[in-house]
Amino acid sequence: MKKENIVIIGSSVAAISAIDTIRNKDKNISITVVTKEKNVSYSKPLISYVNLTDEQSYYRDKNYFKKNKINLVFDEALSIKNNSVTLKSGKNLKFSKLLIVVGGKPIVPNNIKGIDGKNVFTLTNFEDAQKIKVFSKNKKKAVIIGCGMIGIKAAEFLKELGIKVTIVELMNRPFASVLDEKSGKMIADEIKKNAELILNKSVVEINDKYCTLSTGEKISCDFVICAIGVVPNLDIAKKSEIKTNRGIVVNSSMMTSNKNIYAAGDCVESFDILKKENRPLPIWPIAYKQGSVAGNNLIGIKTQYEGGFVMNSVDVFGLPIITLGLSNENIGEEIVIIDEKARKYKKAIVNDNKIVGVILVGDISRAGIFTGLIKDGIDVSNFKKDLFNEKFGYIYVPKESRSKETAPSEI
Amino acid sequence: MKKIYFKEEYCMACRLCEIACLVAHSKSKKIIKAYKEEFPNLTPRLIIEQKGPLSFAIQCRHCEDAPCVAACVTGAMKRDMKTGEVTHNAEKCVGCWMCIMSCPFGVILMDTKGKKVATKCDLCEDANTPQCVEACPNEALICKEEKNIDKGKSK
Repeated sequence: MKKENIVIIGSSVAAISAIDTIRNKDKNISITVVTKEKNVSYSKPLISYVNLTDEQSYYRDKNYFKKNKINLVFDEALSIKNNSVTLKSGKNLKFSKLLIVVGGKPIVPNNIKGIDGKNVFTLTNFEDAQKIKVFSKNKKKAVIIGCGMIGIKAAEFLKELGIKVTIVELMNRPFASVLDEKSGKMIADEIKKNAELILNKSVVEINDKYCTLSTGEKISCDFVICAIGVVPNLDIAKKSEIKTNRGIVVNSSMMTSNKNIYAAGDCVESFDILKKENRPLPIWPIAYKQGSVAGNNLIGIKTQYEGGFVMNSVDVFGLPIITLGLSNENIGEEIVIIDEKARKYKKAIVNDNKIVGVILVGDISRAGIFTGLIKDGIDVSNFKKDLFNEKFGYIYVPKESRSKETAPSEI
Repeated sequence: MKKIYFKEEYCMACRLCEIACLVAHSKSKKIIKAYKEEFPNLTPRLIIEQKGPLSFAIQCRHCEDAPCVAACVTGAMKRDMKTGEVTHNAEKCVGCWMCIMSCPFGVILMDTKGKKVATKCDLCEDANTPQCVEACPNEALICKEEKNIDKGKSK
């Protein structure tokens, strides 16, 4: 019988989660990780943090791959054919099962003149952050295109590096996909205390001295970070006859259109339990969960991914924000409390007696209770008026809907 | 592993568990010293909830498939495969609050007094038994073996 061997393309969280899952059950099966990254131990969401301690900079410990007997191949996987991965170096890697966890690719609009210049960066991996650190030495000003998750982290990153930042956002508010007008305005005001924020405008041209906006205005800057967002990386799937849509198409076992090839994380389309459709859900906890589901299935333990929904936790210059689900859609009754002076805003959207979206600004304590209510589709009609009451807590969750984790089985 | 469970029909919301928790996680471990010298800087690791006549104290459930572990971007939140305990390493934590967003019980707390970090029940790793359970005068908090914890560590 042929020896089983698993190849994983990618080395971020979905890969680590798959490895953890596999190694927990099988210490010996051969696992090879192919990665483009030079640094395989860092955590992507932390690349914008400047002053991390050594301990903080590793997601798992330094020797994680060695300890787990992973064969690390520092190369780029180009295509897959007949159970073999072709690498950039020309080598081929045979596999019995393959996992694609290649993540997302930053969106770089090609209609901006000068976008391919040497002073234009993206910020989605360790190398990007290193390049920016080096380039920004002795520089004074930067423009960030886009005021979403990456844009705001880029702004904090550059502020730490001592760079004066102007953020240019096409929409009328930051985080326009998840924040409503009111909370968007609050966050915009907060950002303006720390950086220039230009809304409703776009960058049309970049050179080494300034950016030109759609209105003709010129913003002086030494360099630009393009932070519009990410899309699933479909490069290898498309070259390998693996079915793709907006992301790589997978079933609930995380299996692609090829039965020996699985995929997980930011590169796939996942089932959105709120929208009831498949779409990219590029967030960390989903990548972790899917990596684990894929890991089990790779070694023949049947496991299903049941779907998820978008959620975000972001700190905007010290002001915490959490958004859950369809937080910016007019699809139901809205329960809102605002305290502008205290910079607090809370909103829950209730549709068909279930919470489908939440925005929390300022006070995010116990936010996960709402996540649980959304995930389990719990009927909140009896206590929806209490959702933002000071005393609200897990005790409001009806006993029959509470998790088994709260009560010992015999009681 | 042993887990802490509440029985809301016995809880009187006397808050002795909260005091015991604070003291157990203080430097001195002495109630007077803890309250006199450390108190505003201590965060209890449990939450007492009340609704009408009902109340209970709830703390980290040490879930088998813990959403906080999945959500943690630093690796600070981990599940110990041997004991089943969900542990949190404050040194690694950067206070991104992904765990706060994920915990369906809302039992991870924000400690913002020093460096911003998450904090939660550690089952009183310094003591032999969870001190909230010891302090409960009405057995509304009990600590008992949970059956069927994962056997993933086999082989």
